[in-house]
Amino acid sequence: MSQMQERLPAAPLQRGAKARKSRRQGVGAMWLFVLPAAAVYLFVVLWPTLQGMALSFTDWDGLSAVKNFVGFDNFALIFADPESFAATWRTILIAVVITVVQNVFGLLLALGVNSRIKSKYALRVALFAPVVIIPVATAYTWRFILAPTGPLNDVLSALGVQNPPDYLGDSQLAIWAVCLVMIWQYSGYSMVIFLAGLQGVPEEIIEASYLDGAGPVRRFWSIIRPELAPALTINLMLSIIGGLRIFDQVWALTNGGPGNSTMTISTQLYQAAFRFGEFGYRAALAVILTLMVAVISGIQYLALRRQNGN
Amino acid sequence: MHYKGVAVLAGIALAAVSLAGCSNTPSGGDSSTLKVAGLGAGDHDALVAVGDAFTKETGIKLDISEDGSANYATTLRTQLGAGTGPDVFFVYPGSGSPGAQKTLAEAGLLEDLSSLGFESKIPPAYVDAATYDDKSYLVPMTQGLIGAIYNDTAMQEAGLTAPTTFSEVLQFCADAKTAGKTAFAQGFLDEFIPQMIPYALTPTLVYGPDPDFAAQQADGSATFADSGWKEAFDEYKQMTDAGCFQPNFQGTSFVDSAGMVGRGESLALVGVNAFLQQIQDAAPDGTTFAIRPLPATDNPDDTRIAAAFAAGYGVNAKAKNKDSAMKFAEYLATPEAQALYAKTAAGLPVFIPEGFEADPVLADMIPYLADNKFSPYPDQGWPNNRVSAVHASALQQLLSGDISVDDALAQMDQAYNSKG
Amino acid sequence: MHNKYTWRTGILEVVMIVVAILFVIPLYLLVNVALRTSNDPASVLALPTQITFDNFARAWVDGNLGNALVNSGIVAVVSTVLIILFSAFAAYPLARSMRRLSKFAYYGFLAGLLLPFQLALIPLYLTMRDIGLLGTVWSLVLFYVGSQMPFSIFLYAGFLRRVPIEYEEAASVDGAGPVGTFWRVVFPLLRPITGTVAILNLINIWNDFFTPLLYLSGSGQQTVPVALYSFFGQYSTEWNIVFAGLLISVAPVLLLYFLLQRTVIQGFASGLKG
Repeated sequence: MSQMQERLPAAPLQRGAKARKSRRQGVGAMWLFVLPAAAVYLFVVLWPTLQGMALSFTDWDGLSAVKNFVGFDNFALIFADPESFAATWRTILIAVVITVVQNVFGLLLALGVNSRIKSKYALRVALFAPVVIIPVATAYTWRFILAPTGPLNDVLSALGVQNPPDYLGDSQLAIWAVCLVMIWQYSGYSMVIFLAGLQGVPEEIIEASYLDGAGPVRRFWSIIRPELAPALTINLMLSIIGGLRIFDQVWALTNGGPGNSTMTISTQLYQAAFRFGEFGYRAALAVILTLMVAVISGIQYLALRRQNGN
Repeated sequence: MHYKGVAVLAGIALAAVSLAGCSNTPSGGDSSTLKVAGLGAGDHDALVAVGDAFTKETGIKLDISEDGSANYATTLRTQLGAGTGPDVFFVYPGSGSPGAQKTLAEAGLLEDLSSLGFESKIPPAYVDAATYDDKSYLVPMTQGLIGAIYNDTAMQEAGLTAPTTFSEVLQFCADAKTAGKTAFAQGFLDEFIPQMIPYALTPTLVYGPDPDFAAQQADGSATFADSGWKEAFDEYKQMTDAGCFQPNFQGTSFVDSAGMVGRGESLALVGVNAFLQQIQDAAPDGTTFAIRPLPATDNPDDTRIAAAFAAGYGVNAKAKNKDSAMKFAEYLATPEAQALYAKTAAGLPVFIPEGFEADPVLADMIPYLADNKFSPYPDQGWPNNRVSAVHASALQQLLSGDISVDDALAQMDQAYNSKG
Repeated sequence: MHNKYTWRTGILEVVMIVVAILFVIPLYLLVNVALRTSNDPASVLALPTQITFDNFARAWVDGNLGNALVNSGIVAVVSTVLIILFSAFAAYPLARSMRRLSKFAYYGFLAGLLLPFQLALIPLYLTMRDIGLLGTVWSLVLFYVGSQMPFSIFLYAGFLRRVPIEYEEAASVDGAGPVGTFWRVVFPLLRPITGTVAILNLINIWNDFFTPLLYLSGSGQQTVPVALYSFFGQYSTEWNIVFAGLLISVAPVLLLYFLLQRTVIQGFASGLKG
């Protein structure tokens, strides 16, 4: 990673009155540059989030004017509820599966469409297309495809499969169906980011490796992989954060069912707030989700940074 | 000079904000317009029809908005909590749901409608679901009935008749299989479906024989686990084991199950009468349907049905146009409005006016209403919304064999007693 | 020699095409179902017996999609323009200055990537009510500009670190102030990443469902996903109309991606070095 570039001096190095003057102006202007973004960000994200966190210490029901301070009661309730633990593990499982499969798959696709094949431009567009579909609509499309008498099982029946599976109705399978839909939708996203990284690998380096007679695997590992590190960082961060926060697809596909088998932290959170009127509890859940996302992506960021830095 | 770019940015931001200010008038125009929120889908046409008639009579315009039933409670709660709610809005009866009458009334968000004087006309069995603390908070519009909706055309083709005892139900499932059909198509994927069969069975098994059950449960002297609910769940399990439902019913959506009944691949489904609409959508012209009770014992005389009012409207306690809102509420309770609403929604009004002709598909159900052989939907008496959510998920687990009947009932008792 | 199209390339080509076909099958089903009549006897995997565009007409009219497309368009375009301006300006000093404070500010923005929107949802709703933006598309614009800042600044800052500083030095020696330098020299250099920022934000904003549902509810205004969702409820039994509506709703973004796909990939390519 470009640690060196980050340390480049910010202001021109000339000495003299003029330079110093422009430098001072630069500092003042800098804050004006950041001001609009910071103002909106504070107003829309940080301040309301802090207010939301404050709610996690109350018993607010979302309706009445009454908010009682209850300390850590909501957190205690969450830790006492086995379903919260189950949902937490499920969320982590989904995030990990999505992150691994989507990135491996996205990378393979990127390598494929970065090769000399003739259809590469058409393929790039086709493989990215699912990304732009509204998540709720994606879920509906897959509900149609995965229905017990839907097109997928029609094909299986035609191939002679007896009793084709019930993807969304089987509590063992439903969570994999959710992962499948996410991976289908976002592999193209990972692909584009990897592709971008691959395009940064200078042609000559690849060419040189051919002349060296490096095999494709060795070529990938020793020449291409290091160049992909930044793309990998972004991809891992985006997919793990996306996986941990997964909501739309689960809610529209299975509603968290069957029998809670696809209930994640986000769907639990939604249910607590808008169905049970437990806004305080919900806020506490959201705080836990935030901490989880922060810790996991923090560890990952530091690990990758260390690896890339060397 | 140096700050020109920043000035441009600030200008854009200002412009955006001031533009926002300009367009801040809610669509729907002047302040005399009454904001009404409906549930959409089946109730849409009915609300529009009644609204038009009201406007014609009083000159008060309505601005009707609908977010769809899936999100209705979400948006309504947020708006009411923030004081930005509509003047008149759809309210779920009883207390089982987040947009329910008792929940909202308790939070002081509903206007007391006792002065409108329709309360005395509400059938006694429904009074509890329409009132809180002896005050009346919503105008009931239509009644819903739970039963088995049969595709009579397909029944005739298969040479079968509707069962009148529970043993016959199981036999009916076997006969349907022989005829190459499924008896009941249930779309378990949608959360509101699993509960339908217990709702259909418990009036006969629980609430009929023991009319005080709900009260006893509330004071802690009765539980789900130790009641007719156990029998209801047992019967549900028996129906599953007997192959009453289509293969992979757990992953079938309600819409797909309605299609199966409409096309005659399945003979029936258990649900509320409003489902008929989706079933008919999928049916070839000329197909006939009928709704009949789902028996739960082997004595046909025991059979009762679940009936409740399905649609009601309340007035926002902080309504901006309270006078108009109250006028509209009063109008909704009139026989004309009741009849018009029910007719358009193909339902049954709560205040059945003289000479009202119910949809013939309901013919077998009406006598149960007339003879007082019905109980309200169980969830309307549940203290919190967790119970119905747990009910649905426990049933999904029960019928896929993950947990036992006792486990499922224990989960429900726990939810019933949780503070939420 | 490596530029030759060998038999291995041929196999790769076939494999890739097969994978892409598997990928596109759901989309094929969408189009295929949307183009047929509701009682078409052919399997949904086969081509329709008779092609009809009636479903699109019905979806357009009954789903009120025209109005929703206009709303979504305004929200997406206005928000994206503001996001680009705000985040490019903010990223410039954040990427250039190595002062502790600016590092702190940079990570402050990045922290936004981690915060679940659910926490801020209700408090922000109340604020929007108080400033009178509720029920207008401007509440959404404000929300998106704020909530998309972290990701956009992240992309811009990464890219900026790759832009050689000499350009600005030259400009600043010529006497241009920081704003002039940025606007005339740096911002044009950012064009590739601007394309990326634009399209990713457009997709995110266009597809968002929950915020418009809450903020526009009861106002009679809808964005495309919200209109589609209520449309799903209304026509739940008629897949052909639902799918037609869906296609109409994804068409603008898909078209934009077709047009900008080169820029998007280039932008990423040059922006990923941060």
